[in-house]
Amino acid sequence: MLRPFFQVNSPSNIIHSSGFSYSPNYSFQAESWELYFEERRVLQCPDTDNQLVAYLSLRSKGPLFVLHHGAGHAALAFALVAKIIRDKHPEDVSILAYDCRGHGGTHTSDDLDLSLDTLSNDLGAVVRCLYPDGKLPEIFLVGHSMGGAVVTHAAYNQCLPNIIGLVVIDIVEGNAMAALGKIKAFCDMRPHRFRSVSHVIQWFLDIHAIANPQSAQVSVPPLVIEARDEENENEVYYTWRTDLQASERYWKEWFQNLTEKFLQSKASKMLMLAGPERLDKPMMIAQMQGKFQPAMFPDSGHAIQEDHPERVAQNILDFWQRHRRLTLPPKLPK
Amino acid sequence: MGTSDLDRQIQLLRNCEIITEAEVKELCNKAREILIEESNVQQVDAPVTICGDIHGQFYDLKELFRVGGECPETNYLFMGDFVDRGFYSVETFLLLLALKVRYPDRITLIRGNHESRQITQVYGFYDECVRKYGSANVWRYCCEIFDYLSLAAIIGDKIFCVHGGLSPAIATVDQIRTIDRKQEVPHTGAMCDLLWSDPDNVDDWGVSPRGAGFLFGDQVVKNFLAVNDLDMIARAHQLVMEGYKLMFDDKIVTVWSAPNYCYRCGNVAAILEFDENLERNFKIFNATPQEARGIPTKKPAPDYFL
Repeated sequence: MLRPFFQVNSPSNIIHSSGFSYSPNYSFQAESWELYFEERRVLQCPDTDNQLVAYLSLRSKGPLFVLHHGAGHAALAFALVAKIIRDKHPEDVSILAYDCRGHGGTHTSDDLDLSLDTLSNDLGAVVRCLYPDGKLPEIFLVGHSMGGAVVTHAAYNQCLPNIIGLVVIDIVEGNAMAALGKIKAFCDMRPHRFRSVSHVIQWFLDIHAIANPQSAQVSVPPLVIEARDEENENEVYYTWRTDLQASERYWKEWFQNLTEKFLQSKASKMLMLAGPERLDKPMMIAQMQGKFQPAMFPDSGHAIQEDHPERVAQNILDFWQRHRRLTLPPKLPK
Repeated sequence: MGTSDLDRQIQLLRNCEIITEAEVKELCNKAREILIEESNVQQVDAPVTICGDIHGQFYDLKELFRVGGECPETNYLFMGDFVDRGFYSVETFLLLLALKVRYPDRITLIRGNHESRQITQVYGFYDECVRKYGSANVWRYCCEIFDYLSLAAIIGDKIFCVHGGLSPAIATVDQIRTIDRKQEVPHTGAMCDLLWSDPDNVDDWGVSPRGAGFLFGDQVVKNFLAVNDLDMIARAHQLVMEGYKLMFDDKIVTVWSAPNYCYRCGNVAAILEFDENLERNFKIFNATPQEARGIPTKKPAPDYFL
């Protein structure tokens, strides 16, 4: 069946609710990861055929921030955040973002196995790959959406030693479970044929899935692959790298018991949300009992790290500083 | 503004009706004149009834007054967090403020971490003001008043009351008196800690998971009480499903006064009466029925969550 292309139907000037605006002349041009990371490495994990694409800025001292994207996204969803962190701490912070199984440039022996155990084992393997001498730095895990479930699972099960901090972006169990029914509708409404990568970038901006064009330019290109029309071999189009629908059997597993695992994890915890009404009952109780640090972004869409990279980066850095050691304020004069 | 005007406004507010923007402005001017005279650590005489977080749950505040007695018949101390989260932060705060202006010696208001420009812009009070008054003016007037609220209170020279808890920067009550409180709640330092800290089973001090203030342990509390010749600390700030919680050999108590917090948490609420001999009596109360309160305005869940 020949599916229709995504049609550009931009009005003369689109202004997103978050305040970003772009003109019809905006290029929607794909940008390279090189502006944001120092290095792109394909990691061959020992004893496997898995080849994971990792974006890195590594240092010999300081903590490692591991940034895990959500389902249907890819590592470069954190490109802007990574760059800001690197600029603010050029010497004493390491950053790792990687395309997880079934996503972006990563290829594994079973790209359809997106169970939490597998994804969290991958996380452990990737980090160990980077430190062959086994001397792991202090680790802060940051995950967006499904990635938030992965890093929570990893922290809860202590898939690595030294996990000091856990930062989860815009995912709460009650809310996610309630939205499960909508995911299929979302998958169905997605166009499956784009004439160019620029069209894909524009589509993300048009549906407000990403509000920040600068982020979309770098985060979106790895989400699609080139394909050739079956009937007309000369016709090239772009379609999704990841078949979201195929991951349906894991959707429930990703989010079930997320609250309990988050709260029981030994790491220090931060939850970034696109508004306080995202909190479900157990998380609201936990917040009001002071169990984790909330950070609210009421003017953001779901991809907070793309819409507000500056604030997300600063929050992550403040969180790190706060939890590296207990610093008491000076006593007031008697 | 005469007493009869004020009584009329109190009557309106007790019925959960708002007063005009001009009236709010005048009320805040009056309140400021009173609050500016109050010390950072207000002296309060027993008997007094102390209350924890209210969070704009107006109809539950009405229930609180029904259970504890109306002001001025009952002497009240509210330990902050009047606004945010509930649907009636405007009516709740303005009623408490009007009572303060009308009966300044029968009600004491101290500041909570939600009495802040930054927090109220995220957790609802700002939006509510704009929705109900069509501009941010009322929010602005209220925030100015927040800056004048006392930071703590001492009942009968023996019970230290504060919204959050203690600060590693502070050893004595006199040190609290030296803080310049007329400002937005800072992100760090003594004033911030008083509004943000929590008691916990830690040795001495700990990093607070909240991202502000500190955790403070049993010994910190006992030292503070000994150094300042106090019997006990009363504070709010943490949701307690049973309404109140005693810790550290009854040397500190948490009082929570927002039943079924945020209309979904399923907790009961408490107030704590101290009689003239500083004997304690807790009163527990439940949320008013749902139909009396309107429906939460929920941002629709996002289309997908992957």
